[in-house]
Amino acid sequence: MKSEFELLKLAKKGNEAAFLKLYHRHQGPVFRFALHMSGQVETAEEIVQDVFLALLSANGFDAASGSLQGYLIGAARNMLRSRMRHAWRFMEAEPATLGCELLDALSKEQELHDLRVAILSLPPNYREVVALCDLEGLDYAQAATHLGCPLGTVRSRLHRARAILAAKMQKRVGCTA
Amino acid sequence: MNEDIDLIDKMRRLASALPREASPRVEQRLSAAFRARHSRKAPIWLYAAAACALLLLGLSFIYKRQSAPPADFVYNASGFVALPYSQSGVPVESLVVIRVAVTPSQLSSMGVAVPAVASSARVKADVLVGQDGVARAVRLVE
Repeated sequence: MKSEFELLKLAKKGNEAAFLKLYHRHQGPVFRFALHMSGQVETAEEIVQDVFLALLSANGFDAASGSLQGYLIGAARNMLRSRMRHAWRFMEAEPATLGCELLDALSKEQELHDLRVAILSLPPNYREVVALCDLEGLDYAQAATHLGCPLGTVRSRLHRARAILAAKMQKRVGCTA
Repeated sequence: MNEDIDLIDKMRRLASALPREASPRVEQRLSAAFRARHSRKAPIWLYAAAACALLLLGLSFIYKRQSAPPADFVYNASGFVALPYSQSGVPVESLVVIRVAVTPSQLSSMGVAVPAVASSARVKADVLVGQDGVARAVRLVE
């Protein structure tokens, strides 16, 4: 079985099968991260496409500096940030800004829908750690590597994010009661 | 603590309710982009061959320059100067001298040092021509 670095070398030389193998291995986590951050399937798919095309560029991934998945998540994060630099504020989850597909999928579970809205209303720094640790199930160390910040920062941001989410969900319960 | 666990549990449920992967259309678009990118690229051997050809061309030019006789090379003791790039492949068997009147600029282009005269003036020169009709050397008469 070829290593990821070997597959990437082959892909850069024009081997499509190697490129697609890498894509199948890593598109899921990249897509989910982009989806959790943007709240829109379409945007998440565009990010996936851009990330994998960027992977083929000359000075992309360096195996010495970390895992390929970490590199891809980092690239997705940068692309999301630059794409939505002006939109972050407006992503503070009006239900109407959510993708229709998401609303349809979640309409049967109002509570989950509200949670989704609450997550999308988090500041990006908090949303990132929630996406990676709570939604993707990565441990603090992996999240810290992907985000390029200290472990303690991940821990404190996650703690704060959960507190905000709990308060919002509590408020919701108060409203519905 | 229990609130945290409950929240995390809900988030896990939320994550499993959301799409897990990009749709197949992303793969199709990526494949198309990949093929377009690599079909435009000329094979690397083509670049290598072009680079070698340029290198050979450069080297042959340098060699030609070096093998040409220097302009101040004296053809023989009688003051003739070999004409640049006039080396015929035919060995010299007989030579004739032809006297000509040329402008100083024509003479200097043949590699002969010209005394300071008016540029419109003509100076006399002897041209050494081989039996094959190729001019081999030139000499300033005046």
